[in-house]
Amino acid sequence: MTVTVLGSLEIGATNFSYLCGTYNFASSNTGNTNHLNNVGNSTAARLLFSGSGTWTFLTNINNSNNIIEQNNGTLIANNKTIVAKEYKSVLKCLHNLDITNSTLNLTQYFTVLQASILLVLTQ
Amino acid sequence: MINFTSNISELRSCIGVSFNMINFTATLKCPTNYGKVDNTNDNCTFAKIRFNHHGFVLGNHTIDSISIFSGKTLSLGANNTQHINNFSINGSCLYSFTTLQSTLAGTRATISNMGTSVDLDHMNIRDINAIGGATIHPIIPTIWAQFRWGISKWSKFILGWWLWKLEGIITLVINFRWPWWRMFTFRIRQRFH
Repeated sequence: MTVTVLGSLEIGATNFSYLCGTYNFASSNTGNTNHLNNVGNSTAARLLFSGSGTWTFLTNINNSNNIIEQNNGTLIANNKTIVAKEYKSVLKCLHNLDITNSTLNLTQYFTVLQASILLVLTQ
Repeated sequence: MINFTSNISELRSCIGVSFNMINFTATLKCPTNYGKVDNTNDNCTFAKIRFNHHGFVLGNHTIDSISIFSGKTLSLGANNTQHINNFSINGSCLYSFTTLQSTLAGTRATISNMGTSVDLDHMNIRDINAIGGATIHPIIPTIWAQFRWGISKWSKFILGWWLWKLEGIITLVINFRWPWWRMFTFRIRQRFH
């Protein structure tokens, strides 16, 4: 199952723990937000950021059973804690991961293919 | 800050990427656990890498500060060069010696340090080529300070030391070996009034 998200996404606490499959964030616009309120739950969805837009996390993310894959655009952790099995980047495309003042907790791997260009901003 | 929280974790395929703090936080006392900057990475810059268990750093990188838990093994890529400014890799009497080694026996890994001094203590060092301007300072035997930055032949003779004060008496005990098959204990006691 793949769900394509062309803008912002807001999911309440009662639903997000059941997420699985792939959520493909495909917007080319700036100003997108992800509000994934899964406090206390760990999801198993592949969070794929494929669009050239910008996404800002408004909540902590606990996706320890699956990966966050970014192949395009800008991902802003926004002072939040992001938990995932793996952060992965596989396409030759300029993209940004901004984890300034944020924490990225990975249970396994941080993987970027050699041909990719990645900018990591951290504090 | 990026935390790798499982007992086997890897940073992969990063070329020319700048990182601030990378933590490998595996804590289980299993000899097969490790954190690794693997050989698909190259030319990265790290403000700090911290290993809580065995650690590997492969590829050629610039690291401002690197630390590893006492008694664990830090392996650096054979034929790779790490520019490292600050070390926190000492072993201890409590957790045994820390091992600093190349990933391939007989083939050296290179550490470059352009500072003025490097303090190492309770270390086993193997197949490491140290270059740069620093001077190594073994911490315990201060009378042996000022050895050139390189592999000191003296460090392997110190097995441990203890210093304590009891009822006004300060006792210093140093265990050492000379030659390698004989162990001696050196003890000094001084009463202070």
